[in-house]
Amino acid sequence: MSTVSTAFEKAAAEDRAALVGYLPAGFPDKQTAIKAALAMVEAGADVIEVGLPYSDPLMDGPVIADAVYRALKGGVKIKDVFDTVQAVADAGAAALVMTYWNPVDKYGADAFSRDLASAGGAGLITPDLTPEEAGPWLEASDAHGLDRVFLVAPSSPPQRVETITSLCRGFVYAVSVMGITGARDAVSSSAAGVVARIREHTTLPAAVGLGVSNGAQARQVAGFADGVIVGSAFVRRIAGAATPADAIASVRELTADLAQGVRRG
Amino acid sequence: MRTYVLQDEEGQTLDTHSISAGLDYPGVGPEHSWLKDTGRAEYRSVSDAEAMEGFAALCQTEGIIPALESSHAVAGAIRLGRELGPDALILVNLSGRGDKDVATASAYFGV
Repeated sequence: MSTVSTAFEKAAAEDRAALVGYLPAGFPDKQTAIKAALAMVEAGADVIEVGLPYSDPLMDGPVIADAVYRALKGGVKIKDVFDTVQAVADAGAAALVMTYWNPVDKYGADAFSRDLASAGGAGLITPDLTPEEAGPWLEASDAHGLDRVFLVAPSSPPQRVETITSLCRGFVYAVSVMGITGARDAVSSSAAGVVARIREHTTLPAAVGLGVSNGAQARQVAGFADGVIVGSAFVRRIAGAATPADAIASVRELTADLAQGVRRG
Repeated sequence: MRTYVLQDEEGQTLDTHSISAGLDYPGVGPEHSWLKDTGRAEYRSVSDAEAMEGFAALCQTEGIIPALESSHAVAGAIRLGRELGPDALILVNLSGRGDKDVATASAYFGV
């Protein structure tokens, strides 16, 4: 039983959706990112998604793209990602790394998995890895006992949803819109449909990402999904803070708002 | 399916430069990667200066304005011609037209 599965089960037992919070490692600097992630854990996030800053973040909108650009300019390395994961895991929360595939491919899927597991990481979210190309990751994640989160899009046909969900472990990432990451005024009307289609193929939890930025939206998504993923809204809080201490306080405040939101009823 | 990418030791793509906008990119297509790996094609690099020499040469000798991307092929053909000698027959694929590039060429040559 993975720590991610445990986190989703715990949330379900409390009649709420799990709260998954994303932060890129190294933004605005390594230590502040770690403290912000720990603040998320303390304020009620169930799973932490640690972003591995990548130079070609094709799924991300301007808020996250700018943050990872600044993290890379600041010299963030894969080792810093593992250190961030370690800090979250030591605090008792499930930590997944959200990463584009090339850095893992270059590091070596098996070596990356080994080092992630030894840092206490639960697995990977892989937005640009297709099932057809996932062979080395499937093998490495089995060998090192890691979760595999692939993404289902509103455009994924049933056969594709079947293929994707059959490879997932931990949860399935339901992409709410045909677009990029970033806060939106309203939760996409297609999100519930994506979750429903995922449930036709798997009993794994389905968590909705893209466009959720506040407690009210989290509540809406918690009405039909097992988990709520929030990224850009956190990153925006950090980017807009005057000092690291303000950034951490602001992340804590947003987490608390979202953690209230994911409670149903 | 894999492809060649300019990257650092952590798998981050490198910044790139080319006088030709169409070549100013850190990766190549998987077809080219496959042709290289199977030995069907041999790839060589050409500098901005050589490409612009190729551009000028084709304009002046044939009255054909090649795209800056294709100018790299012209430069490669000139170099290959020197290696193979006067009896060699070389076919150059001019993949694009250079009237889109005259502003860049004009700035480069200062005319």
